[in-house]
Amino acid sequence: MLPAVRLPSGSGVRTPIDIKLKPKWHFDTNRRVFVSESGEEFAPRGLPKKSRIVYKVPSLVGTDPARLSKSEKDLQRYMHVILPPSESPARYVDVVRGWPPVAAAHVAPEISLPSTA
Amino acid sequence: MAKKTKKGGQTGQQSKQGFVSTKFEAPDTPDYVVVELRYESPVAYTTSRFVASEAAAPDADGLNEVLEKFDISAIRSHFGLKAPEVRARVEVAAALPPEPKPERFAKKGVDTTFIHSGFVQVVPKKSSDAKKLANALNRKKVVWQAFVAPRPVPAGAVGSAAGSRLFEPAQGYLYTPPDGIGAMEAWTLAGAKGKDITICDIEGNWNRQHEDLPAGIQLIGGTVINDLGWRNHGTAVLGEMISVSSAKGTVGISHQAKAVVHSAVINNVFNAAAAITKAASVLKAGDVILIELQATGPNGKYVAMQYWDDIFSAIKGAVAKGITVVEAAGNGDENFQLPIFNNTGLQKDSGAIVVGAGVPPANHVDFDGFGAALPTYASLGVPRSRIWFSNYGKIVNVQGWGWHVMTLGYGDAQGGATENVWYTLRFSGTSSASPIVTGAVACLQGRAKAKNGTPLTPAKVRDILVATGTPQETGPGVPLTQHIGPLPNLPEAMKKV
Repeated sequence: MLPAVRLPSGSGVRTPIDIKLKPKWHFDTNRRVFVSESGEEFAPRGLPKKSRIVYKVPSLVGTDPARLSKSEKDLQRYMHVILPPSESPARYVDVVRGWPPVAAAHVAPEISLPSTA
Repeated sequence: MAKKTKKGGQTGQQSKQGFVSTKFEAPDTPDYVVVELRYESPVAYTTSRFVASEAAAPDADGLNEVLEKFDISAIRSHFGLKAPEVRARVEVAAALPPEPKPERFAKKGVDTTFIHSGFVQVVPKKSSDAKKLANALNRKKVVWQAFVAPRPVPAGAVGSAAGSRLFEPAQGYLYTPPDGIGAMEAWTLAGAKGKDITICDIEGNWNRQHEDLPAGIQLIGGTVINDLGWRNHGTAVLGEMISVSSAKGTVGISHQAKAVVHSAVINNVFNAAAAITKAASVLKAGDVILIELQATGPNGKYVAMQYWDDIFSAIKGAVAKGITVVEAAGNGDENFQLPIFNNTGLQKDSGAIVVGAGVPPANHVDFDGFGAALPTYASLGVPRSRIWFSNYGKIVNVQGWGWHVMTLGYGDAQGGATENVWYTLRFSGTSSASPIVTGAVACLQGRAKAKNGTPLTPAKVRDILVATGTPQETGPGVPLTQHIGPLPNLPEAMKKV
């Protein structure tokens, strides 16, 4: 028995798919398409309806790169794919991995508190 | 020489051991020595001497030679076992290898009774002999440890008008090193209670209305998880660091620091990277972020959050701004040096101070067990050795008390109709260890600002805590190669500011 306090059932917290974009790609949140620096576009496909694709740290998006540290520039490339509550992220992670703008994708880890009670 | 102090409206005494209420009178009972025999020592005892099988007779003789040098009034089982139960330990012990892990030998008789049978009370007629007797017994190979039994100090020595008790004497982690981090000594220095420092705790929920927390703790982002367990956890974490100094409750290590909190849940999903980045944007150089989370890694065990690249980058970003990030190593009993972690955040320096769980000096599993892993009243280990569940590796920099820390919430030490008056004696895990280190960091940075006008860099803070800390100890099954680092020693650390 390893000590942990897990999420209570019914917490409403969902497990997303975490993705990292390839360099020189970004996501146009208005048009909901990935766009490369060279102008190439990719419309995400293969997800259930009402799925959302959001930047992990939206506050860094659109910030002048000259004002960002190397770590912050790296952080700009991370996104979540948040599926409807009834859908399993494990079922869609390979679909997301197959998208050309995506460098890496995995089901987000199960988070808990490092305590005994 | 004990020094009398008046602290937070409470008359008390700063002794070598720590702060105790002067209104408490110690009971008139003799001091005695608790001897813990090694599991594999085939030695038992009667009411007057140690005994053993023929093969181990020299071991018993050696102990009896020590007893003969003192006037002994009683020898008895520390757990009140009967003579046949004590005698039975000889056969079980004789079959064990050196330093066995109890859980591996459960089928060979290493059960709770066997473990209890190794604890012997030796009562000298003169209390003044107790320390000498313990020292002499400690030199014997068959003894794992011998110590003078601590004289208990009641946690609730003084009540208050509001009905809550004063729990400060039970906060052993504040005490003088090597047992605690020496916070109370450090507080005599200007700024060293965390003045002008802000701490941001990142987890899931808190009871910010608790009577022993300062008013105005702001939630700076995220959505709280509406669950009592998560709320108790956050409250306990805050209590260790910033509970108010007064005549009731506990006192935080850095009780002049300010706290803000950020839930790691954003848009209905966990997003620790965003929480860290937001906190870093609100805080300033010298402030502290505490990451009180763990997650399931590739081996199915809990690991530190910096394993994931986005969180690693977020930590680096915060550290680059001069903010010290303190991170729980996690409770996975995981070795971060395994090849599976090559080129991951568990083998790279994020700049964070990663905190493991160490055994506190009151080192027995006193009123709850760990299931099959450790029964109630088993020994948790040698003080400052790694607690069996703590993760370990080169990136784990320092340790804190990982077992039964006195703080706010849960209600086992003091309950009541409202959570606002709940206190606990049993907050544990790398969860309880990390706020001890975070509080120490806030004290150090508060002192640096007061003395030098500027805070230390996060790297300097970490270097000082590691260089001046009370070293990690080895214990049965937990060698120093399972690295969790030293316990902070604030009085020594302050000399480097």
